[in-house]
Amino acid sequence: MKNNIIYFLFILLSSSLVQAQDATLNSAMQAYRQQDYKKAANDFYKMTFSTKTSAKNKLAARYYLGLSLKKLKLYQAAAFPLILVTKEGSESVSQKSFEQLVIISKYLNDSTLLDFTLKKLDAANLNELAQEIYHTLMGQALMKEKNYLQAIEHLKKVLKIRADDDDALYTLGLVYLKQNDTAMAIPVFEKLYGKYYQKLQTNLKRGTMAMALARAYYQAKKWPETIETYRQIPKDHPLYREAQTELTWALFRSSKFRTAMSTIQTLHTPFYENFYDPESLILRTIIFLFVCQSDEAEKSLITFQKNYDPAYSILADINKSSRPAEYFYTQIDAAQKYLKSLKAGKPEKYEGQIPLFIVRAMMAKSPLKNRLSYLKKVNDEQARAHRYFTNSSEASLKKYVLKILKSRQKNAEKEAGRILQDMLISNEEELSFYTGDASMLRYEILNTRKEAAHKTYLNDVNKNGQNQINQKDNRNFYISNGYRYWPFEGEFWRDEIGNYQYLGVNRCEAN
Amino acid sequence: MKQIKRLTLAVAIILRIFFSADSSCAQEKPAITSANTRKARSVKIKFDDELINGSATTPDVNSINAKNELYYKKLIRVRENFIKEMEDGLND
Repeated sequence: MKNNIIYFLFILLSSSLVQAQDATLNSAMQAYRQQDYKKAANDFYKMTFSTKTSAKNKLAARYYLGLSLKKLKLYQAAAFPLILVTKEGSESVSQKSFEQLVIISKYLNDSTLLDFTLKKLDAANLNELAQEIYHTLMGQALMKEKNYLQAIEHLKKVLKIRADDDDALYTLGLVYLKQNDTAMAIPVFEKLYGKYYQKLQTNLKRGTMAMALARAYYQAKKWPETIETYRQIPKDHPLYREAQTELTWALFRSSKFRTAMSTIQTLHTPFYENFYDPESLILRTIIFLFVCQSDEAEKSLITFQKNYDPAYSILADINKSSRPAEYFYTQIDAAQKYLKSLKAGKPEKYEGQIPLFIVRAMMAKSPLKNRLSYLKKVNDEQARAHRYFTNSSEASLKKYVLKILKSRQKNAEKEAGRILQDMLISNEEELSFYTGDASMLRYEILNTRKEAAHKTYLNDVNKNGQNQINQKDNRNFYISNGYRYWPFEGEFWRDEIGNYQYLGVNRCEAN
Repeated sequence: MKQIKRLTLAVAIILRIFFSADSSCAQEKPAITSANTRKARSVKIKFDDELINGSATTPDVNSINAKNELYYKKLIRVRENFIKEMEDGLND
């Protein structure tokens, strides 16, 4: 009897517990449906870590915790419970979680999360948005592996869903360019540029797409179109500086040397003196050389040596020594602080050891740019978490979110440092190439000077017909004066060999 | 009998002389032939087919330009594309 009572009480308690759990889940779900994501996230979080929650409810709570955090734009924190669901949940639940992870990895541009997701996804069961992202990312990944045909297949699948998808069109055009198929690439970039053509000239995307189209024209050697398209990029566009160098190449290759010189002049003003751009100085030297301005060409080379020889030595020293990734991140941090103070109009002392113009240039290039952008997103999420969760009841969730973000931040900083380290090694190689180019150009400058000196000499020699043989004089005149020109008329005799004397005039151009 | 022998010998000598004269006559023919051959040897050689049309080979504009291009290709690296920069711009 006693046992029966205990059993009855247990059943009653457990059923009430289940009812309580269901009530909590329902309440959290209601908050989610009413778009009160902060409350929903807090409720789902509590359920997730409660020992009283059943495994089934825990799984549902984790999934919805991920969704709620995603809605709160806490993407990094949202990815964590969703990854757990993909491991623990049934096939349908884990597929739904993967869908969300694809979107998050796209937003964060997180290659690690992306790799994890792409490997385990079943693309056929994804919704349209996730399919678009999935096929675009697959196309990009396959392009990097130089598997161009498969990359094109994936990208065309995206374009079937949405014909004017920016990322898919850009990647498709790039794949064609990598295959050097400019005839296929140009219409793709024209379509992309056409999409933004009606926007204001200051529109960021418009400039970016103009740049892409101009590059496609350049590769196809369509110089007038290239020049015209580069000129569509406005001065305040982030790509303006790069566009000027590339425009100069196009002008140079279409033999418009004077215009090329005018364009590249912009890049060598004090405004751009803190930018790492060895190519523009080399290009400037080449153009001067082509217009026979050897003095100006030499000045350019001297500037190149003055700026880049010390930088090359510093890079060589840094690359020789083994330093941890954290050291390189401190260099990025120092550059960021200095640039921030510069932007604020109160420039502080630059504390970095690697020249600023190098770190700055690296920060503007992928993959470091992507990693820094990811870091910024993680920092933004931290700020958001501090702003959202102010109540004491939300302290645990706040701690949980911040713990994930701190850990991600630490890893991302380390990775950014490692990326900079790799980039500096390839930078040293690049500078070594440019230094080689500079040596060749020095030779060319000397050669030009030698030729000029030679011409001047010949000009002096031929001046006013002095020291020349007058063609009006009869040959006999020379013969009688001891010159032998052609002592025999018509016949050929063996004994003539060695007796010919050429009396022609040097006709080399004096200038 | 002796006379017959002498007669036979005489006939033989005459025949011998006759045949030897005939053979010397026969030897004269090649002399004539060799004179003909000499005539045949003086073959007229026509140079028309083997006439070499010589002309001064001077470099035309194309080859001058080609030489220049080759010359600069050796020493100056010209940008062919901006693919690397475009890869950097992926997902921008």
